[in-house]
Amino acid sequence: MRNRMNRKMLDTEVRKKPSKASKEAMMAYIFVSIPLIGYLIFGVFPIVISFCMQFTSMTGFDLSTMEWNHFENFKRVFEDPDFYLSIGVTLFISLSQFISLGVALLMSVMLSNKPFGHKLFQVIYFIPYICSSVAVSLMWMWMFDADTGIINTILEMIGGPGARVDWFQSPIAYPWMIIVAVVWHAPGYGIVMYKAALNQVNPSLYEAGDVDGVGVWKKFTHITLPAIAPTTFYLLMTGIIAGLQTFDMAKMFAGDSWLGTSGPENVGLTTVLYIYNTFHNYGELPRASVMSWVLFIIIFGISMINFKLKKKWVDE
Amino acid sequence: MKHTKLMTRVMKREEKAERTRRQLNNWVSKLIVFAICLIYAILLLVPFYVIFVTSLTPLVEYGSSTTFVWFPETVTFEAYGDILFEDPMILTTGMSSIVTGFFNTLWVAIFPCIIGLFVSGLAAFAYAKLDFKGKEKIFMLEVTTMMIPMATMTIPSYVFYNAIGWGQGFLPLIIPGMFGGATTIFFLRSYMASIPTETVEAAKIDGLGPLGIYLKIMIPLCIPAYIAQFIFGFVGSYNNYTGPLLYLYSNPRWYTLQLALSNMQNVFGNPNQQCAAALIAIIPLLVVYIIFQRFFIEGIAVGGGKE
Repeated sequence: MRNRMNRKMLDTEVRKKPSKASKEAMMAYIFVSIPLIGYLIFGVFPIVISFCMQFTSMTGFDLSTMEWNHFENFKRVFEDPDFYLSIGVTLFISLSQFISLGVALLMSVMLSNKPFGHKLFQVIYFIPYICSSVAVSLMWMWMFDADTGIINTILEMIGGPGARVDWFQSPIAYPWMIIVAVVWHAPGYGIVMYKAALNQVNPSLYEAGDVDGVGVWKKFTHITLPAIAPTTFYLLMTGIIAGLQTFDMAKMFAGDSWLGTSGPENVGLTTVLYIYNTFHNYGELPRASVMSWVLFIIIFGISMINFKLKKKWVDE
Repeated sequence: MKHTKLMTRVMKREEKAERTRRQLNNWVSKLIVFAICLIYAILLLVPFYVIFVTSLTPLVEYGSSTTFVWFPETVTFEAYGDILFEDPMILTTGMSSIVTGFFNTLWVAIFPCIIGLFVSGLAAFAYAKLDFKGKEKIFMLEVTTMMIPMATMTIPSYVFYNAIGWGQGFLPLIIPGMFGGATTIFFLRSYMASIPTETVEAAKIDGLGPLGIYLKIMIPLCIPAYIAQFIFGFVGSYNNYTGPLLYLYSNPRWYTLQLALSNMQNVFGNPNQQCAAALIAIIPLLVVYIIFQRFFIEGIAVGGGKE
């Protein structure tokens, strides 16, 4: 409504002073074109190159050596057991995103009850989120240290010497280190988002619930959860997308292994880490490109849903 | 008459009992909520305690211990000394690798953060307050770019920068960011939309052009949004690991803070040194966070993530 009014006002102004309005439009085009030009050069161009590269073989970074190779890259990727392994590892580590979401929901609901010191708690809960993934990895690698790590020390205090776990050598334990580190690191974001959403819930709904004598749990499942559902969905989507792109921590935990193994039996090999190893250690850019595109298609599908919901969420 | 009086008295007593019961319930639930909040806070802070204590523990104590050292018998700051003053990088640049990394990080972060923000603001201003043909469509196109997941852009960008000769160096980390970003535009646009159009119209009547309005009116009025976005971008640059790993790995002098930190184990692999290095890397941002926490949280709650 207001927008329409503005446009009308502008329209009359256009008629009065055509030169000024057209100058304004020209400036506007310049303003909006700078980011788009940047995106064309540093986004579209590279995407086109990497798309074409999938169908070729190439030496180094020399684009002139690109040669059609009869889907050889696709064959190699889809016959590569390590690629499927990496997808499985990535999905398993993405579990951390669901746990983080649950933690964020629980803690934001707790904070919304405004317990004593809730402002201080809010400040503390966000601290892990601002720590870099490198620092977080170093921190947790030391916590999980087999001999003098605090986690094995506590396990031994509880369950005796047999309760120690060799985190870096056991293929079952290894991915859990990354999951724990992510769950420590990530919920701060969700807590902030959920807190904003919980503040938006109409208080009269709770009052109506009180009148009807509805219990706390029922109020939570029937009023709170539906009201914050868009945020849950948004966080779930961004969480899954972030999980599918897990790289930093996987790389840190794997260290500089030139053999290309990431953890015992490669159980720490996420897809993006595998892509990185493929082009950085083995120099096989076209094959890495194919894997990137497979990942891209998966994530893009999820992003489409996410974007539609985000628009709804931001514009209300 | 007497009967009813008795009834009311009984009812009153029951009511009272009910009220105290409810108060007790309320009190107990408050205590439980507080306890959960406290436990979670402790769980989050334990790793900081662990790396802090370890950074102060002499290596000798770990040599003789088979468990975690909860508190050292002798406190030593030698790990900090090693990292800040004994680093071999001092011989070449005069600064230890972590300090060099800190300055490299500032250098990499500052241009995309300031110029990129200014440029994003220009576009946001045009979308929010200027009138031009095809605005909605161009905005949709702009927003569509937000949907491209970052990690899948790694390979295409890496190939592209290598093909144009930017393969190793600061350029891929600085130049693209100076063209602004869709998420920032999206955030600033919604903030600018809340500025009354009358203010802009009045400035137009005063003879200000679009650039003048942007510089003299929009930026001062939207300072909180700019600060929130600046901090958000700065934290992203400060914590960036993948970018420097791809484009700066070949020269240790170029290492940013995160890259220097991740490479620390080659020189200083002892647990106390590792923990001290991690703390040194975290503390600057932690201080900024404590001072500007409002903006950190606003930048996220309104702008959404830049994942």
